[in-house]
Amino acid sequence: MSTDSPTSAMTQLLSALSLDGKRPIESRQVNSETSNAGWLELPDDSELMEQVFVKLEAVGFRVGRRLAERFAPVNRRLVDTLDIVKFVCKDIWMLLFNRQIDNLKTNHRGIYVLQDNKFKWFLRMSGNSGGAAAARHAQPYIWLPCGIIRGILDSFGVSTVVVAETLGLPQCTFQIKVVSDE
Amino acid sequence: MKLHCIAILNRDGSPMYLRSFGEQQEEVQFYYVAHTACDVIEERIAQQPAGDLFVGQLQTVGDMVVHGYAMNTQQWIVVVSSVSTESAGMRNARVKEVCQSVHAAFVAMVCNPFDELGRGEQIKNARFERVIEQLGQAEF
Repeated sequence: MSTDSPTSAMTQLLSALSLDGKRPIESRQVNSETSNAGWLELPDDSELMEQVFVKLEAVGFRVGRRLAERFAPVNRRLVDTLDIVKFVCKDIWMLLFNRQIDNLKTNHRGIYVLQDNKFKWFLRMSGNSGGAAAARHAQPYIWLPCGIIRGILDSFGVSTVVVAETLGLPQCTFQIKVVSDE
Repeated sequence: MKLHCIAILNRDGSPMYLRSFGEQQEEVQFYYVAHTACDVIEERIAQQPAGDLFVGQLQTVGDMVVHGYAMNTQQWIVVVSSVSTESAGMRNARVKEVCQSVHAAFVAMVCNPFDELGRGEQIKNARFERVIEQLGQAEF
């Protein structure tokens, strides 16, 4: 799959997922006169984007489980949830993106906020029409790491809900909410 | 020292895999021994939360010695071996090596993207079985 720009990657991803057989996703030819030149017009259909989210997050979950098995520390035990989140921030981020999470905040009651100021996948992205539109276009790229984080935490026995948002490329924030079984 | 049985269990005690070598005992016996070992593992981990992955010798049942190894990812490996004349230290070291090989084979099996292991399912992977077979046949 040759991808030399975010737009072609997105097109191929959406068609590979073949979300809806009745409505094939056409890749529209980009008109250089429009203000969104260089960006694929993402379908505004929020139901479709919901399905994309579910699929990407599920793929990330399975990848996360395998990452956790493969790279869990073998000479020490991870004692509590904070240890596990620190493992994600340092070791996993280093493996995936060759850098560590910049900022970790927690309220010690099950909410962890991970902030990455130079998210690797956003570094080469830019948009003509301004920051907000670019951030919205970049949303799908952030869903896969959400699933990865959730998969890793789940294989250590912690069930969570992970959401991510970006206020401006290349910064992004992941929020982990621990869901207790009781 | 010969290995009698290698078992892998989930955190909640359900068995994922059990392989016995030799015909001394019925398999049911090994399921029972592995299950009772779970409680001991939990106890030991609660006592010493930040220890090594290898929990050590858990209990001795008749002529069988039981060792445990708790992976970070909520799975436990229980190894049942025969009583031997070696010192406890030597035996611990040997069983620890066995556990580490089992862990490595388990990780290799899980990383297979075509092998989706659900919760509560049994392990059925040819390569993994081969590694366990080799471990069981080896003489210590």
